[in-house]
Amino acid sequence: MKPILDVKGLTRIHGKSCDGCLAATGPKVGGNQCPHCGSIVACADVSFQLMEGEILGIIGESGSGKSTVIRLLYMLDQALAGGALLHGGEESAIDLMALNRAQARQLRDRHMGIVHQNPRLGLNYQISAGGNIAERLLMSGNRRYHDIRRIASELLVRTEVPVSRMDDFPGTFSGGMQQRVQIAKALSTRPRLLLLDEVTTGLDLSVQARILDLILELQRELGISMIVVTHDLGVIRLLASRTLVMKTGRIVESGLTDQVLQDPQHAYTQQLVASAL
Amino acid sequence: MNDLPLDLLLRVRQLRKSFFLHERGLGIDSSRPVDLEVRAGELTALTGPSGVGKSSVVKAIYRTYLPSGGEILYRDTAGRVESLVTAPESRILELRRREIRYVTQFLHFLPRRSTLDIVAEPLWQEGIPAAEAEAEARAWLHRFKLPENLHGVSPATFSGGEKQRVNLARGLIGSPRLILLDEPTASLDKHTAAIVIEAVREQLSRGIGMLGIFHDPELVAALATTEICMNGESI
Repeated sequence: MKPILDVKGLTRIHGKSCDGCLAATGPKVGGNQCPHCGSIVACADVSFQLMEGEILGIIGESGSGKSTVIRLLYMLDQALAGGALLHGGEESAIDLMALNRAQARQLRDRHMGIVHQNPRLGLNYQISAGGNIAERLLMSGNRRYHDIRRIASELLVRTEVPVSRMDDFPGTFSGGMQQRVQIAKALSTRPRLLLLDEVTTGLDLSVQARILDLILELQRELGISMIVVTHDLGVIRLLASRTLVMKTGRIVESGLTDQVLQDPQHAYTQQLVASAL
Repeated sequence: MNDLPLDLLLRVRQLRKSFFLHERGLGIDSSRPVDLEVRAGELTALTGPSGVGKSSVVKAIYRTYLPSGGEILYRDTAGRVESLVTAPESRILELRRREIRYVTQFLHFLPRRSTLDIVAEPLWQEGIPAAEAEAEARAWLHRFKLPENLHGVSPATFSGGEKQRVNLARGLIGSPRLILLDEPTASLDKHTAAIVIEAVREQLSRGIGMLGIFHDPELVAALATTEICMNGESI
C-alpha cells in the first residue's frame, strides 16, 4: 500500500504565539491555552500517513483539534508549521501547506472533496441541488452542459437523492438529504482525497446508518481515500481501519481501530472507550 | 531475525500481554510468557483454564492487542519472514485482508448486510470477483445447512446456532494462509460439530495453518497436531 497523504508536524496557533506555547500546552498540561501569551494551540505536531483507499478515523472531544486538522488539509486555514504532501497523479507530490490561494483552490476543485457537519458550509442555498454539483464540475474544468447534467443526475442516484428533486433548492430538503447532496457534490470530481467532518452528527439514527453505509460503499467501489473526523466511537468502529485519538490539539494515540478500542494505551483513550454507551 | 525454520508459518516466543489501567493506576498481567508454533496444514490447539490469557495471545498475534513483550515471527505467502510485533499497521491490515484471519466466538458483521455478503466478504478482500465469491459463499452456507431463504437477509435476527454457522462459514471460506480461531466452536451441537471438523480438516489439507482455542477435548483430539496448554507444557 502506498501513502496518498504524508502529514508532518502540522501546527496551528490562534493568537500571536510565543516560544513557550507548545511546551506549556497539550495533554500533559491538560489545556490548549498558552499561559505565557494567551494564544490557543488548535493543533500541534500532528503527523500521520493516509494510505491509498484507506479510511482513517480521527476521534476526540470537541476542541481537541480534529476539525482544525481537516480545515488545514482542505487549505481553509493556514498552518503555522508543518507540511502535508499529497501524492498520486502524474505530477510529483504537492505540499498542501505551501500553495498560494489560487493553487489551493485549483487543487481543491480537482482533487479533493469535503463534507461538513453543517451542510450550509458545503452547499450554496441560492442554487438548485443539481446546480451545486454543476458548479463544482464547472470549477474543475468540465464545461459541457450535457455531461454536467448527466453526471449530476448519476451522482444523485448514487447517493439516493430522488433525481426528480434535482432542480429544487437544498433548503427544501431534509437534513439527511442535504448531507447526501453534499456528498454527491464532493464526489463529483472523483477526488483523490475526501474529508468528512462529523457528517452524521445530529442526524436521526436511521439516516445516520444510511449515510455510513453509503460512505462504505463508495470506498469499496471507488477506492477513495478518506479522513473521517468524529466524536462517535460507533462511526469509527464501522468506517475506519486506523484511528488517531486527539486531545488538546495533539495526537495522543494512534493504531488499528480494533486495537485502539480494545487495548487503548493512553489514559484519555481508556476514559473515552469506557464512556461509550 | 529471519531464522524461522522453513516448515513454520508462525512462531511465538515468550509472548506476554499486560494491561495498565490509568484511572486506577493498576497493572494487570493477562498472560504469562507463551511459546508456540504453527505449521502449514496443521492445527495448533491452545488450551487451558479460562482467564489464563488464551484470547490475549491470539489477539496479540492479530494486533488487536499490543504485545507487552516477546516475539511473533510470520512467514508470508512470498516466503518473507517478518515480525508481527513490529510490522507497520498498513502491513498488518494487508495481511488481515489477504493472509491472516481471526474468527471469534461471536459473529461480528456489518449491520444491514445480507448473510451471503457477510460470508463472501473475505473473498472480496482476497480479490476474488463478486459472482465467484457469491457462489462460493452459497456453497459454504449449504454445507453448514443454513436454509436458502435466510441467505438474503441480515443475520441480526438469526438464532444463536444459525449465527454460529454463518460465523464459521465466513471464518473458513477461501484461502487465507493462517486462521486464528478464538473458540468459535463453543457449544456446537453434535451434528454441526461433525460438519465443522470435516470443513476444518479439508482446509488444513489445502495447506492452511491454524491456531485455535478450544475447550472441547474431543475437538482437540480430532483436529490438533500440537496442543499448547497454557499453564502446562506442550504435548
